[in-house]
Amino acid sequence: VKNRLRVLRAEMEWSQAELATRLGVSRQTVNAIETGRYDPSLPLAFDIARLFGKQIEEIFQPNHSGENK
Amino acid sequence: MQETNKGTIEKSEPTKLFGLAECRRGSWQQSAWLMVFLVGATLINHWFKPAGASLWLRVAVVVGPLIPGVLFIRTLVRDLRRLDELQQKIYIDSIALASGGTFLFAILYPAVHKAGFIVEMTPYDFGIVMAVLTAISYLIAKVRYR
Repeated sequence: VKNRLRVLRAEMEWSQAELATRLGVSRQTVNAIETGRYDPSLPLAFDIARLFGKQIEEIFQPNHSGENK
Repeated sequence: MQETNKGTIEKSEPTKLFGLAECRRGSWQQSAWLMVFLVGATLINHWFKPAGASLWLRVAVVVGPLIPGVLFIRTLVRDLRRLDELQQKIYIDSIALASGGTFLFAILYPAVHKAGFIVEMTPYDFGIVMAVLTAISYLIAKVRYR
């Protein structure tokens, strides 16, 4: 699953550490999600979407249509 | 669109939950219970003479070290639940790899020992093998998700 987390975080001018604090996760987790090495759980994805005031599919998209990583 | 103000997600003090002090306290408790368990078990293994001891004493000697052992496991699980989801995945993957690796090693050990590739090992040595495997796989995962 690819995501726009890095772009959205940059728009808010938040550091990875600040975003991690707001989400209640570690900075390592934010970095792993941004670089695509880790796909967040559904609850965390909802938290991220809620934090940025967007729908999940506006932030996370499958790599190819109908196919997850 | 969700009707939520940006950047105002409500969490229960995340910085405190994942703060360094919290992790350190958990690790110290884990280490303390593990040390008490290992010291207790070692003392009993070396110095306890079951000959002539009553049944109750023998039961107490066997069950005694289990108390700090169970507390160690309880602390381990409690600390695991405090971690965020990626840290939990790293931790569980490490333990799974170490458990599987130690299991295979324990089953193959007699043959490997008879073949002369490994010196004689005690149950403690298998614990060390498991600890080393856990540490290695944990460090690899930490670097991978850095």
